[in-house]
Formats: sequence, structure tokens, C-alpha cells
Amino acid sequence: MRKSVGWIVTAAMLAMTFAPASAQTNVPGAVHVKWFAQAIVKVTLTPNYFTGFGAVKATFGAQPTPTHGPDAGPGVGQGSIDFGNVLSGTDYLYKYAAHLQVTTNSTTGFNLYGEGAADFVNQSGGSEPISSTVFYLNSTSGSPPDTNTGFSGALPFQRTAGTPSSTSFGLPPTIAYTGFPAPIAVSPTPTADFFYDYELKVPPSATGGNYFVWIVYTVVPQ
Amino acid sequence: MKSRRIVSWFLFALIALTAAMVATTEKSSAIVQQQRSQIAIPIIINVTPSPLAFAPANASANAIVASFVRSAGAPAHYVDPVAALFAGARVVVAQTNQQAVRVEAEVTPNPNATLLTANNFSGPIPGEVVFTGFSGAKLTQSCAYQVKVQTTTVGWNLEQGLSNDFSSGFPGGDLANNTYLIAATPQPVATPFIVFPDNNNAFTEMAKNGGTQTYCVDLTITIPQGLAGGSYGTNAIYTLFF
Repeated sequence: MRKSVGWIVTAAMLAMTFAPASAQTNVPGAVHVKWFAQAIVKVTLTPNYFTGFGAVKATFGAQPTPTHGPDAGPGVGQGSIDFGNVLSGTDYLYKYAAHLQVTTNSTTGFNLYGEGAADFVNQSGGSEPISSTVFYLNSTSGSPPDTNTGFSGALPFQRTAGTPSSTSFGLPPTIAYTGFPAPIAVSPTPTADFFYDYELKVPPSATGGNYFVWIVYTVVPQ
Repeated sequence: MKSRRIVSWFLFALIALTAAMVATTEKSSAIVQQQRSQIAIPIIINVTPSPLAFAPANASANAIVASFVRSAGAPAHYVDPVAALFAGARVVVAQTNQQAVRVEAEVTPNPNATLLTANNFSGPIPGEVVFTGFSGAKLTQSCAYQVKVQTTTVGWNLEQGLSNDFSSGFPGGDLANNTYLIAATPQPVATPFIVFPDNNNAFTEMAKNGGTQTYCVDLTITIPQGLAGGSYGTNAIYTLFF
């Protein structure tokens, strides 16, 4: 008895499954599909991104040939932004410092944030405020050539109010934000390239030593 | 007798020539001065509405989720099985939204670094001047910063000017300075800055003085009408000669 009921049910289901479409009553209806797509963000940061990268002293007129410290390069796209030996009380420009290539799926664009994980720290002790020492300004991809000088207008990096994962010399940090600062750039398009030079304005009172700071770039889709 | 007279004339001529040479040398050294120090003070104008304004935006923390509403009269097999598969499923999309680069420098103290300095900035950030205002606004900062010459040299010259215009539609001359000794009173009127590249690559004399002196610099900016929101920058350059 149970067996025959099971066969009947199975047969009925098969009949429903393989029933010809023409035998059904088609009732048109709207199907509403809501998608919540996670933002996809890809950031590629290339330091020393073009031939001729390096630091020049702020000078009017003919510009000196860029040089750099030992931690920059040696090749294009490699190493730190190392200004090398600098004098206190003097300003410098670092050409072709950082290229950011941002790809997102945000049709409304994105915000780019750039902040120091800490102040400009002397590894021998002490520090200088990053907001009055390390600056950024727009550059070119290399074509046409960058015409900035050490006197070109630039904007200061700020020390983050977020929580950096590290402030040590050898460990690239990330920053955990509870609120975002003012962006350094706003892109209305999903993808964009940013080319930056850096400036270093060494305070007259800066003590001798090896200084460093990590600049952290963050992309947040709008 | 005649030879004596010749010797006397010769001696006289020699003395006169020597005196003239000494005078010329002293005059030359008084005129020719060397550049001893140069400083640049960043001046930033934030024009509102600015793209630098705070605009919080959060990346969606949700996975890709599909929901659907089926017409009540539609048969069950109208449900899209692909959409059904996505419903409620968590799909993780790999992404990197932070990258870091290290900035380094080896600083060597410069004994001449204190000859010419800028300090006591009126704004919240030491070492730079920041104005924030709407296009068309006229803004003033009293004693925005001080410029200090610290030397025992009796006669020195101080030149000033801007390194560049803010932008093609925002000339540096829209920024005016009223510069005066800190113990004195401001000038009757402010003077627009000259911009180095617009002035045949030359600065203008700000002061002739000697010894240690400190100047207050009041700044007045007139932001052009209709200027696009954003952040504009230049540098006030001071150069010391003696």
C-alpha cells in the first residue's frame, strides 16, 4: 500500500516536471530583483614611478639633477621615497614620488585619502610635525615631463586620527578609521590615476638623524 | 730739478691711483651682496564649496545578495534558479583599499638655518598659513606669521615675493601683505605680493636693516568671484642678502 502511494506521488511529480510548457497557463508577472553589490576596490601604489625620480633642492631657475637616498629605487617603481641627505632649514622637491592607480566598481566614483601614520620621526629620538614637513602636489605621468620645483605650491600631509596598525620603520601600516578625514582627491569616475610629487620642508630647528614616516593611502567608494 | 719734479708727479699719481682703487674696492663690496638664506612659507587657500569637504562614504559591508518578488499568479518554475542561488549567499570579493609608502630623509643640521626663520604662525598648523572661505570673500589674518632675521651683520637686505600664482584664474597678486617691525604699527595699506615668474624672475625688496629684527606679516586675500571650490597653494619666499 505504502509502495503504491509512493509511486503515485513520484509519477505525479514527474508528470509536473516534464509536462509540456504549452499545457501550462502562462501568467506574466513582474520580477523585482534588488542587488547589493559589494564595492570592489583595487589600489596599486608605485613609488619612484618614472625615470628621473628623486630629490632636488628648492631652487629658482635651472633645476639640479634629482638625486635620492639609498633606500629609493634602485629601479623605477622600487624602494622608498628617500630624500637622502638634507639640510635643516631647507626645502626639497621629490619628483615622481608616487603613482596611485585606483580601480573600483563604483559608478559614483571614490574618495582618496592620504595621511601619515605618525609624525616625521627621527630614529635617534624626537620628531617633527608631519603637517609642516612633508607635503604633496600633483605631478605628471612623466609625459609631459614634471615641471614642478621645490617652490611649487603643495599641501601638507596630516597625521592620522585613525589607528595605524604599526608605526615601525620596517612594517607598512594600515589605518583603521572610525571617521574619515578630508580626502586628498575625489574621483567622480570608478577608475583614476594619481601622480604625486612630494616636498620636504626641513624645519630650521630639526636635529640631525634619520627621519621617516609612512604615508598611507586609502580608497573609499562613494 | 726737473727729475725731482717728475718723481713728485709720479708719487702723486701713484697715491691717487691707490686711493681710487681702495675706494672702488670698498664700494664694490658694499654693493655686491651674497644670498645667505631663503625660506618658503606655504600659503593654502581652501575655497568652499570644496572637494576637500568632509564627505563620509562607506564601502558596503554586505555580500552580494539578490532578493526577488514573484508575481502571486506566476507558477513556481518562473523563479530564476540563478537568482535563487545568490539569495542569502555570502560572496566574498577580494579587495585592497589601502597602500603605504615610506618617506625618509637624513637630516644634517645647518648652522645658517637660523639666519632667517618664520615662526609664530597665527593658524592652527605651525609652518603654514591657511585661509578658508567662499569665492568672492575677502579674508585677513593679522600677523599671520613672523619673519625673523638673526644676525650681527650691520647691513642686510630682505626680499620677498610669491613662488607662483595660485592658479591661472587666481593670481598671486590677490594676496596682499602688510609687513612691519613687530614693535611698530602696521603700514597704512597692504601691498599685493609680486609673483616671481610674473616679475621677470625677480623678487622685491622688503626691508633694509641690520642686526636681529622680527617682522609681523598681516595677510589679506581676495578670493576671485566664481572660483571653483578646491585647495589652492603658493609659497611666500623670503631671501636674505648681506
